[in-house]
Amino acid sequence: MQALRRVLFYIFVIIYAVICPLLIAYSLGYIVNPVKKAIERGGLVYLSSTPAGANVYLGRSRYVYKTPATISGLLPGKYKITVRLKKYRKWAHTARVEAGKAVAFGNILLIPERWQPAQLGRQRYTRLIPLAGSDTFIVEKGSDPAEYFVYNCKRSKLYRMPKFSPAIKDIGLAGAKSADVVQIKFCRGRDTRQCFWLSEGSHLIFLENDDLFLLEIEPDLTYHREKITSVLGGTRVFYSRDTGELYYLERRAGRLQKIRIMPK
Amino acid sequence: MDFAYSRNAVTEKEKKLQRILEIFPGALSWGIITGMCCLSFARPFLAAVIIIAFLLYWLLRLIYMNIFLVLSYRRLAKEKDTQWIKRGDLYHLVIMPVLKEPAQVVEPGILSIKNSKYPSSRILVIVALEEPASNKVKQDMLELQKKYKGFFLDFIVTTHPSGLPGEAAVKGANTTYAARAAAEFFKAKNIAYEDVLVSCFDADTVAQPDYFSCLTYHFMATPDGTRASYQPVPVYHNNIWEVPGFARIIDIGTSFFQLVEATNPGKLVTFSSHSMSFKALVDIGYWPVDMISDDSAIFWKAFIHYDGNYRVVPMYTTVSMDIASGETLPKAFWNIYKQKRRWAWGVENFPFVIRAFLKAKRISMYKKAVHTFKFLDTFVSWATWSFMLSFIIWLPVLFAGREFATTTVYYIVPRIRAAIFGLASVGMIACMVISLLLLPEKESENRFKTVFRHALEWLLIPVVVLALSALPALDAQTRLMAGRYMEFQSMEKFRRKDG
Repeated sequence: MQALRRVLFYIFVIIYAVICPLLIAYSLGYIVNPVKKAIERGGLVYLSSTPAGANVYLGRSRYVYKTPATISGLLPGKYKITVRLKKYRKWAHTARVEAGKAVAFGNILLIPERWQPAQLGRQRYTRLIPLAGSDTFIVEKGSDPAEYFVYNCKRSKLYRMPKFSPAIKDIGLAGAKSADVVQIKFCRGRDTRQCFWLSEGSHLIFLENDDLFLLEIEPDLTYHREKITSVLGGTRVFYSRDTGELYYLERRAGRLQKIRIMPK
Repeated sequence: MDFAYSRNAVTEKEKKLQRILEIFPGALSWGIITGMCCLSFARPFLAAVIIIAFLLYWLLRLIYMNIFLVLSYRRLAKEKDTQWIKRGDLYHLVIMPVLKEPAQVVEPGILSIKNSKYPSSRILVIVALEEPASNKVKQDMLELQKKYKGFFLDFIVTTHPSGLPGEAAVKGANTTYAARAAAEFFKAKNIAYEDVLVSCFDADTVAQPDYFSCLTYHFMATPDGTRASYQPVPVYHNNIWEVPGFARIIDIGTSFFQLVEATNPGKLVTFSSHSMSFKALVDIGYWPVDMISDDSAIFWKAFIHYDGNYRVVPMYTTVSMDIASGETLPKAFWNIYKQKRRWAWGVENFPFVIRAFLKAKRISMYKKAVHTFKFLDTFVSWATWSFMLSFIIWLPVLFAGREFATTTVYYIVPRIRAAIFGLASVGMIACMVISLLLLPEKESENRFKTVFRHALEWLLIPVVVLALSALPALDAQTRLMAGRYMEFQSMEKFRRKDG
């Protein structure tokens, strides 16, 4: 047994001496360039998406793993990367890979091919008052306190307000304040009443002139925006971070509706 | 070589070196843990590269140990049926130190000696009582003496007085006192010490029926057999189904470690219940009377005394002991923690061994280097690996600044980690299977239920190893660093009343 132990010990020492430097070199990005038949230092691309499980394409070739995925062993250069998932629009980007460096596209928000609003009852409302810092908002049918309702997004339930609070209008204003900073940067003086950051800052939803927009912001601060829907004139919207859904009063009849922004 | 293997015998001149050597293992363990934490914060890139090297090293060690665990288990299973020597050419002395243990705990061990395949008329049993033992325990032992005296060469109950000069409150002082009484006995009976093998068992040790036959065979088959200790495989089956799952898992781990160590006799050190020649014991001046880790200290004492010509011979037979436990879960946890800390206190031998090595001219440099490295490797890995695997390997990614987060290493380390943990879990399955083969059947439960429950218990291993192995080891090393020397505490042996 001792002789076997000694033999195996030396075998394991050799295995370690061979594999350890290879593993470290691999983690540093060193790869064999089959064309030049030389060892070169490459980089990698990291992708994660919401929802996860999307196919990843490098140029025209599909990568074996789905998001979240780390594509390592890439020689320095430019690569066209596409992320595709059924029922969602494709996401494409050109990544510049450098030696020993990683290009990360974290939390790519995949936009549905069609926004699908869901109606929450047949009642018509005149106003939506977001309650900042909560998962609840208020909708009102008229000026009478009995016509105020509270909607809880987590429970997906509408409650009659038990008691009218005069502070409600103040809360509504407090919600509007968060829009101010972004209004200056992206909307150049237009009537931007509200905005919400999504997906760790890669996307922004904002309400401008009764239209809801989704803004995708690139790392270099360029952006493109897309209209989601229109809301009842002068009303506000509510975005629940817990459910990833946006609540609003639809433009024509003021019925309460919701749209899923963040996929489940 | 004459070397005073005792804390009391350290001269003024040597005290400084002794302290430095006491600090060294703990400083090394703390250095690794804090050094890696600081490096993860200050240089996460470098820390991540070191972690890759460590993870691969850990995986290969795990595979290597698994191979020998399987081989060792197979040998143990095979040698179960071996017909060892039945002739009673030699005498055996069994010393069982008792402090708190009642008859219920001690009697199964005495019965196992009585029912041994070796003629019990050639076995001298000494129950070594401590003076502070309760009257109930003392009475119990006297009753056992009365009950079993006729079956053995003799059955002696000694009472070790407290506070003898130069002694600390440790088990070694008690067993030494008992061994001296045995020496008188053998002298009076004209029995040569060369013809006596001494087994120092814990109070709860239950030997296999073939233990003394197997020991006799190994002693006779070993050239210069008096220059060796004989190490059985310790298992903890006495109360294995009466203790919580985490207690079971941690002590199965101890048995596995000893099974693996048994395949490496060149570096094996005695642990827990074991045997040796009585002549060697007398020659080296018995067990140290002021050290807790008497089980390993006795090997080092003999190794130094015989100038490195002393070894441990593994025996593929088992001795079963109790798992430390308690009536409630927290009490059981705390008792196990204290027991593991006491085992880890074996690190107290390091300064003595190194000081002796520095003086010993006749011990080869190779042997000195091998044993020093093995000693440090065992104790430092015991105290640090779990911390590395549970916390430190995650730190570079956690502390990553923008610069490190854009490197390939940042993304590849988690992949390597996941792959290595995946492979390591295969090793865990092998351990799980062997533990199921090694464990005694639970009578009151069907086999499938036992297997299922035990498999689930293995999932506790990362937490259990951290809390009940690495942490007590680091605690023991830190105490030694600080010069807070431990004293022996008898463990609570919990048995169900109907058991």
